Amino acid sequence: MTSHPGPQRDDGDERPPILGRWSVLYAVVIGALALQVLLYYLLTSAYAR
Amino acid sequence: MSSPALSSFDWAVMAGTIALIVVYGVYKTRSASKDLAGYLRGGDMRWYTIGLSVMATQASAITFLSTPGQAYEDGMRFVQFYFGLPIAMVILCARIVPVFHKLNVYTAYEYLESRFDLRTRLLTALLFLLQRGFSAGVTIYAPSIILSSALGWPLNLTNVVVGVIVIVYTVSGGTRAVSQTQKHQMIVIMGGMIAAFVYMLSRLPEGVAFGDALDIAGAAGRVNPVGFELDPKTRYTFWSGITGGLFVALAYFGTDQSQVQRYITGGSLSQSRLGLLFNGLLKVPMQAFILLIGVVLFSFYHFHPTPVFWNQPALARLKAKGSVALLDAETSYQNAERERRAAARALVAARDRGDTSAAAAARRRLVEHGAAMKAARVAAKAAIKRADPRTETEDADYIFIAFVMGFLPRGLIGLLLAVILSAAMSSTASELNALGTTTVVDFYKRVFRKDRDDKHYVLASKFFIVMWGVLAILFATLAALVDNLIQAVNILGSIFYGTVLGVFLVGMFLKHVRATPVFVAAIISQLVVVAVFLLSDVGFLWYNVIGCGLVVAVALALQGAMRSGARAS
Repeated sequence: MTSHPGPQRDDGDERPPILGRWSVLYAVVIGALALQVLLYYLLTSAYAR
Repeated sequence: MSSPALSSFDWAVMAGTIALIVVYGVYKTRSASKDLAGYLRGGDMRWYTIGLSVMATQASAITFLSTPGQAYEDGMRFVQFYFGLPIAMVILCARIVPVFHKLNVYTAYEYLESRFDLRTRLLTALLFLLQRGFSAGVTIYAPSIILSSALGWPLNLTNVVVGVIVIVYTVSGGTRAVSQTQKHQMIVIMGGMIAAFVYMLSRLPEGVAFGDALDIAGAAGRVNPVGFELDPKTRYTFWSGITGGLFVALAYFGTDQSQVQRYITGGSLSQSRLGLLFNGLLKVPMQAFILLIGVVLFSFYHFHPTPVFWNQPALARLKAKGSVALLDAETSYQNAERERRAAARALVAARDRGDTSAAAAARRRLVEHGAAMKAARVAAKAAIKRADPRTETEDADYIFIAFVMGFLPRGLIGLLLAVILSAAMSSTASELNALGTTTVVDFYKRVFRKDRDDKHYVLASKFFIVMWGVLAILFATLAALVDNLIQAVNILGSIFYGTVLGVFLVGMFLKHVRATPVFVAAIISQLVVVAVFLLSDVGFLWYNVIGCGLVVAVALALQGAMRSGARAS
């Protein structure tokens, strides 16, 4: 067996099925995290006694 | 609050749900075991199957038993531990998953041979087998000990039933069966948790709304999902989550074969990436939701009597011994709880009237009587420890199961037990699948039997999955004999994780570092971490940082020294 089991695949340039570019999808994930942190901050502030 | 015996309807719902998922998973993947690639890589999984499989692997039974109890005791702040996870998913998708896909690997450790050499691959694969081999036993054992105590089920029978079912479907359908089964297990898990939450809200007293429940929990500091304090003694803050949580998530999802095997099953790089991003989007809200269940449960129990110690069979046993201190603590607890209930009702009434000063006064009384209950619990635990030093006094894991058994209607109890057992099975299946794959691909096929056909390697994979499964069951069965076993396994994991992550980081990001420096650095790092463990009282979570940092620093220093030596000669 060589260092890898089969022929190397070259699918690095595949485009995502939505939003056109992977960088946009990554931004959506990070943006969703930022939005949740903001939401949780507001929740914490609202019920901090 | 006593736990009723399980009705035959609940038994039917529980057994039927589990059987349906397993039988359907095995049926759908019955042709998956013809060749090694199909058996170990699972074929062309779609992104949603990958995403659910990744989530099901991480969420063990303890996640669903312990997390509501943790929120009950400490609020929602634990959610911050997951803030680094979405960032880790993005880094993995951008830098690491494309490498695994391009090399067409079965295991993460194969990459290290193509980047460094065989010995580095074998060292990291061995560290994985050691760490994950032990934790597979704990994944089975940890929920069994809670279910056996809360429901009176025989401990070893639970271990064996969960273990054998997982072995059967993991062996029969390979990676595809694991992922297919996990997809349905995750749907049942989330459906069951949502049903429990909705039922809990419906059982709040008349006139007590969701907002009232949050206000009651907020008064006791339980509605605290985000904190920006810089105090290093506070374990869960925004800062520790975004840094430490990122570090742990990168190590777990990037180098642990039980996770890597989930996303390299993608039919294409896009499917793998989308699966991980799906996890990055949903993991934090899912964890927040489970914590919210614990917070609402905390408010729910302001209107229902609670035990001074949540492991009620143990409490009953120790009360029977006639400990005066325990009985005194219980009486103080019940008195304070009556006062707290009155304060909770006063707060709801004041909110209804819009009387802010009366509401503020009620919140102060809630805090005051809550503190008295906490003091009584501390006294009760001290009395329990004196009466029986072997009794575990951490009882938060029993809070949610007490609610399930004490308040949920017939049918829903069976569904929730199916949730807990499904979570145990889904995590164990990934572990056995990964242990078998690493044993065959990184050792058996690479070192011992190099030139056999696929049929032979598929058979070998099945044999090693059964072997690891039997070892896990044996380990779970013997686990009751070892004190603090779960913590021991967590420590063991932390001893190895840092070194393995360090090797991968050097491989991915420090392209000029060669094989010998990183191998020597890994050995030195591992020895230092073991020495730190044996000779110091450094918290075990820091072993990850020390191990990883040492591999990177020593590998860089050795590479620099070798280059200088080469120039000089």
